[in-house]
Amino acid sequence: MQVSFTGILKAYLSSENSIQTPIERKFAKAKRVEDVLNRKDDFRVYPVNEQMKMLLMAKSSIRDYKEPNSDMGEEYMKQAGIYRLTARDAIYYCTGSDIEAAKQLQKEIKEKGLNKQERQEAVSKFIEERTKDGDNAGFFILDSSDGMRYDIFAFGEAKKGHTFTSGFLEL
Amino acid sequence: MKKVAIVHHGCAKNLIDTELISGKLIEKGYEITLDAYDPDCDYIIVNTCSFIFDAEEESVRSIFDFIDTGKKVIVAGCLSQKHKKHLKKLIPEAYGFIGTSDIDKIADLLDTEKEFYYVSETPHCVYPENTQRAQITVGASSYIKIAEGCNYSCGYCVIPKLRGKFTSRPIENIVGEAKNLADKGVSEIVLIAQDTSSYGIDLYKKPSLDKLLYELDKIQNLSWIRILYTYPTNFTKGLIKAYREIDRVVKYVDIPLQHSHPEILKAMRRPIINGEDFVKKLRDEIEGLAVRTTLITGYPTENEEHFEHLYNFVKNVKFDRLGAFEFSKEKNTYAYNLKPQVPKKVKQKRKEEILKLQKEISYELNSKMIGKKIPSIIETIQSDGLTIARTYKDAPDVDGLIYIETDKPLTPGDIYDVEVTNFSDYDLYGKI
Repeated sequence: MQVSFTGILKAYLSSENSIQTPIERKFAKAKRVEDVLNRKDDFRVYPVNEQMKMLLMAKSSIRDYKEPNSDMGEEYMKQAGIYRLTARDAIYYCTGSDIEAAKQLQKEIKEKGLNKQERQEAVSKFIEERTKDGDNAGFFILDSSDGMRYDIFAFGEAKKGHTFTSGFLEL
Repeated sequence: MKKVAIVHHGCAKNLIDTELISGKLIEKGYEITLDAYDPDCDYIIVNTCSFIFDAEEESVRSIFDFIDTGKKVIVAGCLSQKHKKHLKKLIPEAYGFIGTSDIDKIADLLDTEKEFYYVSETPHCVYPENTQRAQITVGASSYIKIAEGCNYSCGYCVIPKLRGKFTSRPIENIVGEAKNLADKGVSEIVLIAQDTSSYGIDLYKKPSLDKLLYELDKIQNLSWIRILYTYPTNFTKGLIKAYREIDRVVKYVDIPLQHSHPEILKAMRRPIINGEDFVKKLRDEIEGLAVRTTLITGYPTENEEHFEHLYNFVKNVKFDRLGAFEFSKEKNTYAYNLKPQVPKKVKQKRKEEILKLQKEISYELNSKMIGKKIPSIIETIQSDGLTIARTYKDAPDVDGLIYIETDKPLTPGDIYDVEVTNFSDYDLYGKI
């Protein structure tokens, strides 16, 4: 059973001591919760205001503990296997071999000044490429700079057997 | 001495189970903590809820969080009852599993110091009468469970499968418990069950909540008796009479009607009653009555016409208190396979519309309270001097509050007539 994007967000929102919890463990826990419930919580069925609430909370909780200028710092994030990438309108969290590819994608988005549709296409392509072997993990939150609208992507596989679905939301 | 952390999920009815588990363990010499992250605790008991998906998810997530602490985690209550051995397979790291009707075995099972699975195949809850509840929440009010289980088969509800058939506690035991609580300083008791108005139907062969109320009324140092979770069918004339005759019985009826449209009530497998007439009758017969209800939006087959009926029902009745919930699709219920299901977004939108309407109603009703005096029970007195109380129209945990300014020395549990000086959507402000 795959883990839903909502499951992952909820894992982020609920994890105790989340700074000490590597991303893979959060995904694994999200998967186990959904396995017990035998139900995936489809993010797309949530009304927009609920989605916004969840995303904003997840975003702030992630920011809370992984700001590069926090006490833990960038180095700690690297040790924890989490890389945070910020750009004009994008935040991307990823692990391992995704990092360099994500950096490259972000650079492209920035340099080319892609519009919303182009960004979505670029990210979709990126997801497709990065997940075709089924061994990558991460999720992507693009915001439209006004702090209110997001495009969301979740994809990949944290560990074998811990796959989660990709989701795409256009607001 | 072994130390056990207790974690509670769910409703007031489950809270009593949590308190009974704690009481049972204390009897056997275990030390109890409410801090699951206490480094000295040996076990963490998670008393779970499985009523709706969100509640179940919260329980499951917390189990995994506690497993991460490395402590021995015991999954108690509804989740174990619902999933039985399948849950053991899915969470093999858990140390123990215990069902809803097996909680009285908890201390004996821990004594063995071995992993355990003790979940009765068919729950039949019997209240452990000899166990002293270790109250987690001690204050002016205390819940008393008067019965367990449910004989109805409402289309959306999984409770009968988790809690078994309706089983009442004997009157003398409930009265004994109420006396005990009153002696400890509790001034309001709140009677709860899956269906309080059916109380006694098994033991005394007819609804006997009125009989119980007259007996409870003999406890002199009790101020208020509040009743939650009534059901329309067994709301008897005798019960209405008891409401009228017994001053201690708070003029507050909590009656989850769930919907108003006959077709939806039928689909819900609920009694098809005219909700407006029913509430009017209660209000006519019981002076000053406050009525609380809960409603479900987006039940399968609910269309715009049904919803409009519900909306107008709320508009016309003007409930004093109201809760609205989106339908939650639960396996092993009739409604699970009922078609068409209503999209989540629609369910939510309808819920928000009802709540918005109720907010306006509540504001209007509160505005009419200005200058009036209303009996209120003191709950807490804050260090800054602000006193928080509840009017008789407000049940603990679910309804509003009244904030009081006064120079008088007050004690939690005392009841005063508070003059309302201001209001907000759901709360009041007053002085003594």
